[in-house]
Amino acid sequence: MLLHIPNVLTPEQVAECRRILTSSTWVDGNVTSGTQAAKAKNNLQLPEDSEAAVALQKIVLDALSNNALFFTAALPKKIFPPLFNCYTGEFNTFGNHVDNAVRTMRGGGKRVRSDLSFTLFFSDPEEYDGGELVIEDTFGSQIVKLPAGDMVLYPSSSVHRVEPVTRGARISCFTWLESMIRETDRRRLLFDLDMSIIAFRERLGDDEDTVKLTSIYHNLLRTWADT
Amino acid sequence: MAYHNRFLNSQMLPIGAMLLSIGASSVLADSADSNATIKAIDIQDTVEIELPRYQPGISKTAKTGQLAHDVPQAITVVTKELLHDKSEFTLKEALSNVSGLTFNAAEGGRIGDNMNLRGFYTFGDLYLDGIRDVAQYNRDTFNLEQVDVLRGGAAMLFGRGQAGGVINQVSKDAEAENFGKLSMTLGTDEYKRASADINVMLDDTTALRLNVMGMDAGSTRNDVYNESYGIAPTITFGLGTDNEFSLSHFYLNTHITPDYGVPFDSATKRPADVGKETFYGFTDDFEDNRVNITTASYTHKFSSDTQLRSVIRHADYLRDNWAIAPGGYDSATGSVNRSSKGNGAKEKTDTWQNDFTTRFEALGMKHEALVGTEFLREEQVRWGHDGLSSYYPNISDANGPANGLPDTATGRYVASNGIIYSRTSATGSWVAQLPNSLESGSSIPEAYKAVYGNKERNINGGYKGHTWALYAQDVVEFVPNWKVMAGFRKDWLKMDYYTGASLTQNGDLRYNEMSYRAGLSYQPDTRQHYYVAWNNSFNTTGDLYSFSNRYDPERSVTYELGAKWEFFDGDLSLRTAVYRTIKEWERNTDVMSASSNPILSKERHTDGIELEAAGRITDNWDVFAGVALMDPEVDEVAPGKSDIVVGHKPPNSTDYTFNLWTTYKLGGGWKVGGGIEGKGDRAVYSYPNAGATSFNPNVAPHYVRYDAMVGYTQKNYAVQLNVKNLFDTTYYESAYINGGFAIPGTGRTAQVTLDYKFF
Repeated sequence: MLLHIPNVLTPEQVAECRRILTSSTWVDGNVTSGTQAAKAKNNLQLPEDSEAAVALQKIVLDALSNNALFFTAALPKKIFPPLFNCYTGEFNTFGNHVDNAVRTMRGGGKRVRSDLSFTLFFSDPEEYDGGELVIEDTFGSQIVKLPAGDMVLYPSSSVHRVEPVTRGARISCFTWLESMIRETDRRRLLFDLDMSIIAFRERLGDDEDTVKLTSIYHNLLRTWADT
Repeated sequence: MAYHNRFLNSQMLPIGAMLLSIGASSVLADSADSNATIKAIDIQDTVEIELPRYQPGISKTAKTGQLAHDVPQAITVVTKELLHDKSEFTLKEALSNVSGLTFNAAEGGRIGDNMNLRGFYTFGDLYLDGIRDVAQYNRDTFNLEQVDVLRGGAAMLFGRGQAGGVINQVSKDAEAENFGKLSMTLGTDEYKRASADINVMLDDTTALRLNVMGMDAGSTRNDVYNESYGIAPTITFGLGTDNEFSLSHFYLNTHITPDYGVPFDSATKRPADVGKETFYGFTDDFEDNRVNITTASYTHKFSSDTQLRSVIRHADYLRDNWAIAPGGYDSATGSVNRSSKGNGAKEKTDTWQNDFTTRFEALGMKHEALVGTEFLREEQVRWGHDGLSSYYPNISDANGPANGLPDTATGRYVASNGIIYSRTSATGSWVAQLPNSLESGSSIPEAYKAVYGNKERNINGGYKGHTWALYAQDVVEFVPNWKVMAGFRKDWLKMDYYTGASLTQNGDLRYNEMSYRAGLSYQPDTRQHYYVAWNNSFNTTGDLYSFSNRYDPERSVTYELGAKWEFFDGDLSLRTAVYRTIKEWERNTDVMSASSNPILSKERHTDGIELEAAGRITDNWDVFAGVALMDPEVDEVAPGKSDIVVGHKPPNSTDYTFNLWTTYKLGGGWKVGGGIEGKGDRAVYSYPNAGATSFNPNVAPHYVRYDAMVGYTQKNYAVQLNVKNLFDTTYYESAYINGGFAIPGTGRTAQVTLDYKFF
């Protein structure tokens, strides 16, 4: 499942992030990639323990904690501290790759299994040419290029790439998270059920059946969730 | 992509979000707070989520919770995953993965774990969670998360210690997760072992962890058994909060056959050419260890950068040993002299440690500071068991051979009560001897039972010590990417010695010692670390030695130049170090001959280079490997010793060690692995006295051993077959430092381990 979550950041937050991002020092993006990915990667990244990255992580994580759609779709258990990258000039592309299955956080030895990945855009589509995120989904290739402040959430197991940026700069935030529901199809079912319950409640109000559906949701979560 | 947009505009919240919004802040706080604990997953159901199993990242040994990568000193971390894959269950087996380490055998009653690191003794350098654990016992890994080996002087962090480094066992902690695992291993030579590791959350911030183990195993050595059991509960309150309190107890009981191996052949200077299963003890030999360690710790976090950790521990050890050691091998008849070894001790220690760690910025520079105090009280009472002579006094010709003729071949005489006598000279008196021609696997002859079965403890000495210490260390990033580390520790030691059955005081020593640690690090990015380090260490006449006379402390210093690299997103760690360690006034470690022979060498040194790798090369390919090249040398001998050993290697040091273990996941849950371990020649000898003109020590020969495994893992269970010493090579794992005997390593064995994982 690939999910577009709009307006994760307000325009003011985007502006603030861009101010921090543009006044920071960037490094070769290979610092975070696995073996296979390193061969494909050619971009710039903000050092993950830099002050700028820490400040930006806080903004992004705070915004995510207030985003209902993100929560219900991801059912997050652990989120790897978000990273920031930039595709521009000679550092303009990231070929087909699969994200590393397990990420070890620097400094803590903690590990996050990457069930889901997301990309949060800081550049508007008009600011750059190319730079599409292409995700090979079970339903075929999906091409993603979203407005600044929007996010795309997708399974980490899918093969994906970033097309070369031929003009301008594509700046974004990305990371991985471990979901309480490890299996993509189960997570998808819970999300669809959740959305349907909302639709029913809107149409029918809180009646016996919507309560029952809600309890089904909870019981499925109880059966499947790994907390 | 737009199908959900209508929901987004809805006023209603999705259930998932409602459910999580309550805990949202904690979910995210967890992701942002690097101090919280996430449990590594032991058993995977699919290949896609394999972890770098042999590389834990954090070293618990540097006190400040640093990544091993960031510590400007050589560190090896042996993880429990590596031990599992290699089917290794004792500390000794765990340490076979550490480059530059050799094993000593039964050092004058030092019967438990006993190692040399970089050529230097380490028997005072065993720690459990950063607290001295120097009692002599046979350690098991059932409650260990990992074993860290920090090389070089570490007195600044840990107090008195020796030159080679510190071996720190890291206990399993209660964790914020429910999990449980049962393991069972069955193998050749009657190997049976079962263990459980269970962690239960009692509420959001309280967890209970319980590790238990029982084993009953033979070995490829005849008549050598290990019957052990242990239990280790831990409860932690306030997990993940600013106030964490933990209480734990560790109990281990081992009943093993002490194995003094095979004698050296005086003609070849190599271990006697007998089968590697040949055991010269009696089936009645025993070594009992009982360990009780209670620990309470409290951690208060003032902020994410500042915390105080206080630990109180009471440890109580009992060991008792009654064994037979072989010597005087006669290659013509195959007979050996047997001598009885009987000793034991009761030891108690109380420790109180406080570590305050903080990070701050001052004058535009980043600091990571550590300030700590330590109090240690030690108490020890030692005993011996009766020797033959106290039961069967020497006899003269008149009441000896006059009653019967000695055997002309052996020169021995069997008295009418069945006791064998022999004499060393034509006119000397006849001395009772243990039989020297019994088959391996014999029990003690009836006539000797009176003495051999006697477990009387004849107390012969004791020791009481008090240590106060104060230490501080700061790591300053003085310009970006460059850090300087500097630390000192001051120890005030008070040591009292007692002698004889009535424990009369015969020594009262005081020491005030300083130790230092310094390093300069260049870390151009998170993947590279280059450092130079200087650290020193001292060791007083302390608990380890039974000398009451005052000698200056042993002193050692290490200079090290090293590099550490992280590859593949940190999945593979590589390190190398070039070092020189110099040690002065090295003591004899043999408590039996210590009083007549207190100082071994006045100065010795080791130059060496090490290369180690840990982690994984691809998602499916794990590796743990090391090679150490060393040049240990005696520079100057102690007064009264012959300088003939100058330029030679000190006892039980070697030119090289290497170890490699690697596994590959084939898919479908199958995994294969293999390894190799080798060590160079190790000479074992006593330092010859002045006047000695020839030097031709016994040598435990170099060896290479091969191991293999195959495993099958599913979500809730795993089955694994290990074959150790695949080619049934004869090799000598450990040697008695003063030269009498060497202990064969395991022959070919097969072990099947079944793990079952529940909730």
